[in-house]
Amino acid sequence: MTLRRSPSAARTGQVPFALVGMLSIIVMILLILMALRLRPDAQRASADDTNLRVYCASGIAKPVQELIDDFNERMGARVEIVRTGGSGELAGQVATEFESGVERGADLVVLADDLLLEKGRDGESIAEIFPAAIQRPVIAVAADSQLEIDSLADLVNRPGLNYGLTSNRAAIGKLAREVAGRDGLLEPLEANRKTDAENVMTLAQALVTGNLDAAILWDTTVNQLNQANQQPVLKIAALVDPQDEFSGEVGLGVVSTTRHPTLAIQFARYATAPETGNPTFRQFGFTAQPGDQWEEVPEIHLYLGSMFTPVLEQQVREFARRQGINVYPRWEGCGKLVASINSITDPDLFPDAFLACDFRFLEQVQDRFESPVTISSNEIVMAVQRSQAEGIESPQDLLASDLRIGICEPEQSALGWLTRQLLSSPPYAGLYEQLEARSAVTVDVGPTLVSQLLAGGLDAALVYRSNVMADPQSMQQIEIISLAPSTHSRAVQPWAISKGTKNRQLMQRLLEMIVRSDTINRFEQAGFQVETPEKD
Amino acid sequence: MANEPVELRSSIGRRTSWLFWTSMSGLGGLYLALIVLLVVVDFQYASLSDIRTSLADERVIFSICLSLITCTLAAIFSIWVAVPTGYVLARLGRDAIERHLGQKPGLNRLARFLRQSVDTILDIPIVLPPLVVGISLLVLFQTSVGRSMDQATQSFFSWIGFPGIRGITYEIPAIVLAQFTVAAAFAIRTMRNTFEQIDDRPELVALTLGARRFRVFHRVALPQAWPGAVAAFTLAWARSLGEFGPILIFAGTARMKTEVLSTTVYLNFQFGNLRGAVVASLILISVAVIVLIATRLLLLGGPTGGRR
Repeated sequence: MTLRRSPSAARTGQVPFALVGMLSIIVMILLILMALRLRPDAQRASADDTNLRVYCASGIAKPVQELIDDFNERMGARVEIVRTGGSGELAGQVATEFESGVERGADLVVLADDLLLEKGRDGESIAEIFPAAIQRPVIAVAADSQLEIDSLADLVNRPGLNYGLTSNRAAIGKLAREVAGRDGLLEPLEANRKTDAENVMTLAQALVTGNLDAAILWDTTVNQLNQANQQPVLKIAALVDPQDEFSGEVGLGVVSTTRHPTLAIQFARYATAPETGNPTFRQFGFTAQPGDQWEEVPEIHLYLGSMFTPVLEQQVREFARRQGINVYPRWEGCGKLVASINSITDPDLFPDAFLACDFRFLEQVQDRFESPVTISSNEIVMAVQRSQAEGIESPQDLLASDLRIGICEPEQSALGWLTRQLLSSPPYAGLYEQLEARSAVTVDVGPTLVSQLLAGGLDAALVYRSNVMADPQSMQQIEIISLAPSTHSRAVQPWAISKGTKNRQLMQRLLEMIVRSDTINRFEQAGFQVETPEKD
Repeated sequence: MANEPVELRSSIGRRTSWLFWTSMSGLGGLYLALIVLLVVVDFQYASLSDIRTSLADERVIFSICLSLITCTLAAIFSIWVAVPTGYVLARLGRDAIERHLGQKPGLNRLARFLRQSVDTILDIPIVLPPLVVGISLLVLFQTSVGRSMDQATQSFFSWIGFPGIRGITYEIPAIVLAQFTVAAAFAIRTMRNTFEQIDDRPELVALTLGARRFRVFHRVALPQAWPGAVAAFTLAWARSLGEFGPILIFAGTARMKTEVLSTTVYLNFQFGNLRGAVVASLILISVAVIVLIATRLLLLGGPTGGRR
């Protein structure tokens, strides 16, 4: 018996399928090798080690690409845009990557909506934000259009006009709706629009191709499209918000999980510096926001009260490493720091920021610093050897016994000054002179007194709570006794940025690091009470 | 006179036949006209010099080459999966279940339920929005299994001398995987239909004559399914060429790195270069048409070779 084949089987039955299978495997191997050969970087081991992956909102991609080309050439770096799209779309992808733990997602994201960046920072997917430029919403029409539209109200109320705006997920759409909401035009704006594009470039292309009569775009999108074509294709008919209350802020956000934070931050500094980034953004019609002056490795000088050493020393080192900068911190008593500030003549050595142990010290040099921000407060306590602590409840008790007492020098340190104020006013008025006369030692800073307590050289001292709590082991030997609440029993620590600093944004980022939750925990563990930062 | 009714019938028949074919092809013709119009307006929008300029651009050449390579790889992978899967689904269909488990209603229902479930799962990539496929792949490769695969792939490429390919995610393998995930579902469906239409009696006869299953599949079923396999390959290839959403999410759109033709269109559009986007679209259309015709001619041996 023989099998009857169908006509097609008769024809194809001759095909040697084993050979076809083998051939397909060989073809696959060859194709894989061809694909790999297409990518010259595939043969370099370091190809992706230094690659910085940028997600960029489509409306800003041109200036950012130009900046990337300049930066790569200048620094020999490998920054590249790997994804473009609407701001909301990109912010969403960054959040997804953060939540799902994607290892090689975005390192840096450039969005046209600063609120999305802020939201990313709140959600911890974005670590640092660099404001780069401003763009304004406009009503655009085709370059050869005879339409005359003079305002947003005119646009939304003109019958039969085909206009479009983006959805709320794009920054421009959100902002246009905010302006319309303020002017009572939201309802007609939504009711009469003809399209709801996902991003500004899609909308702009609809206008260029004649599918719309008008559209709400960024002024920079109009410029960008006109530059991309041989002749102008769009023109601005009117401003959406002539009062200039609403504008879009373009910003760069460093993704918190990036493996290249230093390179990402360096590029962000380059893209926002007055000498490098600003001219490029201006060239594309943006109003540039000047960042810090461009330096490959910025150097900053910090003056920090010695009370912060246990809390911030390591944090400042980590900050310097992440930011790719050189930091020269001075951890000393605030009296000495103020004296130093007053004597500095070289502007390069002047501190970029001052974190003082108390307002009193900052006030002495306030004219050289910007408005301060309150960081924390610290309570003055009596630190007493546990073996001597029985029966001691107030400073008077220190006088009643034969204890070796230590205090701080009032002219050199905030702690000494506050101690004097505290013991010279109710409920302890008149005690300071007696205590000073009985004191075995007067030093510059509180940590020295704690060290002497631990060494057994002192029985009691007036120090900050944080001085004792800085070392958990000292709590085993020293007992903390609180004092009665008074206006002088607490030092309040302000942070202020120098008026002459070239690194204002860098200092702002340092402040952000200081008030970050993990640093706040360190403050609290060290006995500080953290204040909600606000301008005083 | 006697012929008159016959002539009348013939005349009426010709008229109704003409009406029938005109009305039946009218709607199809409209669709055909729409496709032709789309291509024509694209050609009108971009001049020949635009196309020449684009074809001289190394980025466009890169994306054309990468598209051709990844689509072919995805299509070959799809066929490797689709042929056995389609055969299994076709031969273990309702008839087979009835034949083997007809006397056992419980098992019969269970087998039919399982068969339906497998069918539904295999159709998921077809019905899912493309972006969802991309996101799902991205999330999959963040699990421990995914990371191990990523790591193994990186080690493999490093071993064969390409240490710059750092795994699957956001690399060329991600493009192939994204294309394969969707294209394979279409190929499986095509192969299942193909095998379902092939009478299984010759296979049963061969089995009764003592042939082994593998031999029956190889010598009896596969030769008859050859035109279907070609159709599945071309469908998978074409589907891969048009793939965009999963590639956007899973492989990214890095210029000269993971840039295929669909992403070139997108990138040009996003950068405000509409003319560049249209030219890239035209190249995409041309490449698709050339390759599809060539595939049919080469694999089926002529323009009518694929007819069954």
